[in-house]
Formats: sequence, C-alpha cells, structure tokens
Amino acid sequence: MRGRHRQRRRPSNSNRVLLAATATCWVLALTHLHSVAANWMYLGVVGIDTTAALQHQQPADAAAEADDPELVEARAACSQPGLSAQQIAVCMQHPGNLRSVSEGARRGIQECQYQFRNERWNCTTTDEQSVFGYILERGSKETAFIYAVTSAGVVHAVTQACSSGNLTECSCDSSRHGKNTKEGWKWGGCSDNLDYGMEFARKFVDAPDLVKPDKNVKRKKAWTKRMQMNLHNNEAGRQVVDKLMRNQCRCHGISGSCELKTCWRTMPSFNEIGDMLKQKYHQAVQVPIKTPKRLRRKSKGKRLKVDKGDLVHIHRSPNYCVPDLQKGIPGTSGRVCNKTSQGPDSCDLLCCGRGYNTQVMKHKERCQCKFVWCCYVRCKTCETQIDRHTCK
Amino acid sequence: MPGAILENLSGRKLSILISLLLICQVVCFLIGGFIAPPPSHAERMLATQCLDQGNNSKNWFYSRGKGSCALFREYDKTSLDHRMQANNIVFVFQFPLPKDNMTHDYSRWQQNLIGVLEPEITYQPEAEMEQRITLTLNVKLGYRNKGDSDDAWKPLAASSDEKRILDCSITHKKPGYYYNCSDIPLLELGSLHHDFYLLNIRLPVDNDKQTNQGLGHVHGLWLVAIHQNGGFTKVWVSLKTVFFPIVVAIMIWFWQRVHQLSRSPALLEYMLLFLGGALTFLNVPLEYLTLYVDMPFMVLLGDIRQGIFYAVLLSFWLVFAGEHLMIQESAEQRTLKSYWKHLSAVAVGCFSLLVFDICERGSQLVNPFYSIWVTELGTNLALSFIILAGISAGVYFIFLVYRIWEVFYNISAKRAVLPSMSSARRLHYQGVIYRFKFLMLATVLCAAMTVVGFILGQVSEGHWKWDDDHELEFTSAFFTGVYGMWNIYIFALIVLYAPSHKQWPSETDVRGNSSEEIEFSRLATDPSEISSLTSFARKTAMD
Repeated sequence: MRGRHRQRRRPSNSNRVLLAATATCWVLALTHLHSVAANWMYLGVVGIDTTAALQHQQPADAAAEADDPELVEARAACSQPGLSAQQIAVCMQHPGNLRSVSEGARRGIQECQYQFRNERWNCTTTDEQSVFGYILERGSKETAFIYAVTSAGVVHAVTQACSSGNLTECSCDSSRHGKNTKEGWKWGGCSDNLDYGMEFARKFVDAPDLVKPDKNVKRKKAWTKRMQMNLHNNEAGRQVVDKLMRNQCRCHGISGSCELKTCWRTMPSFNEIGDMLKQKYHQAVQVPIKTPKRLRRKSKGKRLKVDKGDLVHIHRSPNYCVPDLQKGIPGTSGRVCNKTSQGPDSCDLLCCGRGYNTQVMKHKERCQCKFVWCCYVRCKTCETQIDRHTCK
Repeated sequence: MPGAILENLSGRKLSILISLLLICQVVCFLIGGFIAPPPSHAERMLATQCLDQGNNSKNWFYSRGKGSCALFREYDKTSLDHRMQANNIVFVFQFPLPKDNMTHDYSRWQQNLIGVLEPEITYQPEAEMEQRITLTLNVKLGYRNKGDSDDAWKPLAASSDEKRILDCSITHKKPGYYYNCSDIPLLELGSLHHDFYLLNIRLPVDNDKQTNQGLGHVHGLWLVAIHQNGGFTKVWVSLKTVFFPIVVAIMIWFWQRVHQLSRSPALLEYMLLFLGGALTFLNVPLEYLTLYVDMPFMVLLGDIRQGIFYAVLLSFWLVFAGEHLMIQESAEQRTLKSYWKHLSAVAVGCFSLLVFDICERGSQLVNPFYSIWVTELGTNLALSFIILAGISAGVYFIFLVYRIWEVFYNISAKRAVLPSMSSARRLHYQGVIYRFKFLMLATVLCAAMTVVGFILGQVSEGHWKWDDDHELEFTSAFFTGVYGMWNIYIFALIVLYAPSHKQWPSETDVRGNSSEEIEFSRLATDPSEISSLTSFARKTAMD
C-alpha cells in the first residue's frame, strides 16, 4: 500500500532513477542522454568482436614486458559497447575474460526468457544498448531478477571457461597452503575455479554500482539505495551458483577403500540456477527507499529481514498488461495462452481478463524420435489439430 | 631371571618413556595438520570438443598450443548435416590446465592420477534417453614433456573399445536440463612420470554392433583428475625417512639382546621381529626412486606393503594374547604352527584382498583404462573376494576378542589367589598384570584412535579452522598421525618387550625382602623363559 501511495504522489519517480542511472555510466551516457543508459548486458545480445578477442586466446609468455602493443590490443578488446568506465578498467586487467562475460550475459538473458516465457512480462529485450530499457531503470522485482541472473551467468561462464582451459588468466590461488608461487599448485593444488569466477564477477559486474554518487546528482539517498539494491541482487545471483554446487567424492584408499577420499564440487546447469532464482523472484522483498519514522515505530519487532540470498527491490512492478510504448512494455495482447492451465500462462491471467481468440490450426510435430549421437534425430512427422489461443 | 624390560622398568622411567613417545605422536599429527596439504587434489575440467573432418583416429587432437584442433561448435551439431558422424567429434582433455597465465605441468612428486568422467547429457523431450546404457568409449592417452614441441605427443595407452555402464535419471523433465548421471571411472595411472597429458575420447556409434545406441545428447564431458599432492608426498616421505633408520636400529638392538641370552628366542620375540620387519618394509622410502624411474607399479606395491604390515600386526595380536593365556601347557616352546587355526583367518582375508588388488591394479599396469567392475563376471569376482575378506576379518575379530576375554578371565581368576601368596610374589605379579593390561589398553587406544580419527575425517569436511590464519588439515593429520602412531606403537613394543639385563626384580630391591626373593628365584628356574607372566601362569597352575 505504501509503495502505491508514494508512486501516485511522485510520478517523476522513474525519471529520477533514469537520471541516476545515466550518471552511473557517465562516460557513455553523454551520447545517450535522450534514451536510457547503456548496459554491459548488451554484450550478451551482440556478442563481442571476435577478431579482437581471439588474439588474447594465446597466453603471452613475455608478459613481464607490458608494453604498448599489448595495451593497445587490450584497449581494442575492451572498447565494447555498453561497458562503463569502471568495467573497462577491469577489462583492461583481464582482457581475455570479456568473451566469457558476453557468454554469461547471453546465458542470463536466455534463461530469463525461458523462466518468464509464460508470464505477463516475458523478459522482452530491445535492440538498444540498454537491453531491457525501462525495466532496468525501475527497480522492480523484474529488475532484481535480471541483475541476479546475469550476474550468475558471468560466474557460470567464467568458471566454465577456466575449467576448459580457455581462460589462462584464472588464478590458481594455492595460498591456503602457504605457497602462492608457480610451484604452489604442485604442493597443494589450486583453489576451485568457482572462486575465481565469483571474484571476477564481483569485480566486473558490480563495478558500475560501486562509484560514489556525483555531487550534482539530486536525491542522493534514492540513488545510493538503488545501487545497494543492484549490488545486493548481483550478490544474490552469485550466491545461488555457490549454493547449488554439488559435492562429489571418490574413494581411492588401499585397495580402493574409503580410507582416502577426494571430493570436488560440481557446477549446476544454468537451468537449475534459473529455477532457483525464479523461486527467489517470487519471494522477493520490497525495501522502502525512505523509512518514515512513524512506520518504523509501528513495525518494531517484526522488521523485514532481508537475507543475503534474497532478491530485493524498491519499486512495485509496472502494469505489464497494457502496452506502454514509452516505457517499452509491449502488453500481452497477441500472446499465446493456455486454456487449461492454472498457472500464470492461463488465458485468464495472461490476457488480463480481456479474453482471447481461438484458432484451429494444423500442427506438424516431430514424433517417435530416436536420437543418434552425435548429430541428428530420426523422427516421424505427426500431424495434429490444435486450438491456439491468443490474447485479445 | 632376566624378564622383559617392561617388567623391570621403574614407574618413573616408564612414564618418561611414554610421555616422550606421546610427544612424538602429537608432533606427527601436527606435521600432517599444519605443514602438509590435503593428501590429494581433484581438478575438474571441461572437454574441448574438436572436429575431426577425416576420421583421423591416428592423429592427436589438442586444444592448446601450436597446431591445435579445429573446434566443433554447437551449431554444427544442430545443423541438419547428416554427414556428420559421431567419430567426427573428439573430446579433448589437455591437462593440467593453465593458470595465472602460466602453463602448469605435473611434478613427479604428485605420484599418481585417477581420472573420472562426468557426462553432461541434455534432456530432449522428443527422444528420451534410456535409464541404463553401456557406454563405449574410444580412448587414447598421450604424454609430452617440457621442451618437446607442441605437437610431440607420444602414446601412453590406447583402447578402442572401452565399456562403461552409465546410469542416468532425470527428475525435472524440461528441455535443456541435464540428466543426473553416474560418474564413469576412466583411468588410473600408477605414476605421473611425464609433464603433460592428453586424452582423446570418441563415442563411436555403430548400428550393427549396437554401440552407444541409447545415448542422449552429450552436451559436455567433464574429467575429474585426482592426483596426490606433491606437498603431501614430501611430508610423507620425510616421515618415512625419519622412521626407517630408527626402526631398523631398534630391531638390531633388540635382536642383539635376544642373542645375548642363553636360551633360543621365544615365539613372541620372533613375532616382534616379524612386526618390525613388516614395518620396515612399509617404511622404506621407495618414493624417492619414482623421481627418477617410471614406476607405475607403485600403487600396487603400496597396497601390498600396507597389506603385509596389517597381516603381521593382526597375527601378532593373536599370538600375543595366546602367549599370555596362563594355562598349563606342555613346557616345549610353541611355534607359529600351533596358531595355524587362528592365523588362517588372517591369511585367507589378506590373500583374497591381494588377489583382488592384483586383478584390478595389476591389469591397470598393462591398460590404465581397465576396471574389474565393468563386466558382470568381474564385478561378481571382485565382490566375492571382498566379501571373503570381510568374513575372515569378522572371524578374526571374534577369535581375538575371545582370546582377550580368556586372558582377562584367567588374570582375574589368578588375582583371587594373590592374597594367599607371599608379598614379593604378589607385588611382582600385580605389576606384571598391570603392565600387561596397560599394553592391552595401549593397543585398544591405538585402534580406537584410528577408528575415531577415520570417522571424524568422514564426518568433517577435511579441514578444521584453528584460528583465522591457520587451518588444521584434518585428513593429512589423520594419515600422518596414524602412520606415526603405529610406528611409535611398534617401537614401544620392541623396546619394552626386549629382554632385560637387569637382575630381576629391581622394584623388590627397594622393598628388600631377601628370603622371599630367594624363594621366588627358586621358583623361577623354569627352562622356558618367555616372560615371567607366562612362567607365572605355569607356576600357579602347578601349585
């Protein structure tokens, strides 16, 4: 109730956040003042210029001489659309990781669209550099999910790249055994690749939200609150990856007995991470920007507990039913709905009570398939008639 | 009569000796906990999928370095190119992985390597995978050393038709989700003699032979490479280097003492010598040789060394209990033959484990991909050997517990008649019984500590936080602690059971009752001088 009230009183809410977000990426914002802020997630949509990044696949042995050609190369690799100044600085230190960042963003966006395929908001992306446009500016539940899922995507992609040997920059970090030298790993092995993935994602993804507010920015408090929200959700996304890691062991003692057991951690598939984040999305906690004194006193004793792994948001979700072109909300008319479903994809819910059209369609389907490794599926084609419902 | 040192040692000296040994024990534990890294390390890596356009199964495919392979991309798979065959995809593992912009290489200190495969198979709603399939793998293992050119891979082992059973299940049937598949034990290398290794795996499909028919869409393949940690090997070998000369020296000293006696060595003394010998065989720091010579049989040899040690230790306990039964038997000296019934349990158990070990690890010397568990017959055979070993272990412990119960029963029966004895005799026997019990207690304590440590190691996550900077590496501490403990235990046995030079008994000198001493000396002129405890038993039985 409080949120709605405040929103009605201050309709300029979104403009304020817009202003804040543009200031965050002040370098790039100059060219995009008319539209919304560019975002690193754009890399997941367009990918990165492969020619620049490919040169970094080969580890340079003479890394000691960090001379100009390398710097130029790194700068070329890092001058990608959507990156903030801080992120470019991080990228300059690890130019090879950018490909994984792009892959992580792609996975995040893909997973978002899969998880929300049946909802009113179906994770629509725009062609612009802001990728999600208004939804990212607002600070709603959906924003929280996007931040978490893309942040988790970077952890996932970087960790995987480390494990495949594609990323030579992954740190070994054998310091736990007191020997952090080249021979360190021979003494006690390296740390888990996930540690590096988490550390890098923390550095890179969090970078734009770690800048101190500019003096020119109005409503400093709201802005920092929004940055805190982003940081919190980024971390929540990363924590999900960590939490879903599975421990597996193998016994190899005398005669193969469990006298000696070695364990390792297995990374979950990204779908599992998406599932968990979707659950967290449903339980997301709304944190008020300002906590009025009277209210705080009233709710004493049962204060909102925000866990480290929870998603938080500061605004209510906008109405996704009606198209709002200015905000980039397409509305739900024309979406395919499910007549028999009870969930969010049911025609009642998805069409927001506007009703639906029904078409009878011939549907060609692959059936009785047999998969032959590696590369093809042997199928028959079945033809069925189905009813297709679309929202009015 | 010259008894064992244990009987003649004063309480003060005994406690000094025991506290010294305890300090050594704690040091062993702490060395493992604070200096050594965990015993082994697992590195998990994702296969690079290479494209083999011409079915060149003789070539090496590698993912890093000059001349690396052409990558097979996901969209190649989904394109409806029916010419693409299963053999065109090569899963490549080039390990160890590079880190911190440096190429890592294996060190010979890392000793051995175990490879486990984890397939990532995606769920396809139109073509579900079978629950259990026999996976056929075409595997090639190659190696390269520092200084070799990037393409100079040399073959180490190859197998074109390696079968593994793969169990896969799925709980959430959604497209793109992974099946929950069992791990596939792939290879075991007994020595890490080379610097770099390369594994090329293909999953051939053959309609006629029905190979890999029910296989789903293998999205990725992971390899978990488990190797011993170099630091652990260094600590372990250092311990061996310290223990080896000490135990050898104490054995020489012991045997000299035994030979200075007029009688021939008793069975218990032979057993102590065997025990020392088995421990010495375990202590020989053979690992130094692996730094120079390729010794793939080290894992098998290590198992055999440990097996022999445990076999001798278990036999020793049986004989030890048997020699202290304190029941009247013929005066002639007993030999190992008189224990054959009891020792056969140990022999059967150890032999069946040896056969199993030779089948599994011995075959791996020829083919590192071999596993006895793959075939039905092999599994049954392996299981029957292990069950046989388990049964004999059970029989052994029933025997041992029964024997120990008998000893304690006899001791308490004799204790009832102790008050009727003369004071010197009584004091003497009380002391002997006390020290016998003390040693029994030490044995039980050692065994209990091993068991408790093992359970703690299984429960805890491997390392304990000591303070912010220091972490106790429990698994390593357990290993060095147990290793040190058995060394110290046997060291103590050899020292305390060595024949004493002192005129018996030193303690009664203090109490000074000459007449009773004479009386006892007269009694103790038994020809078989094993230990005064056994002679005591025989005497009282004669009374």
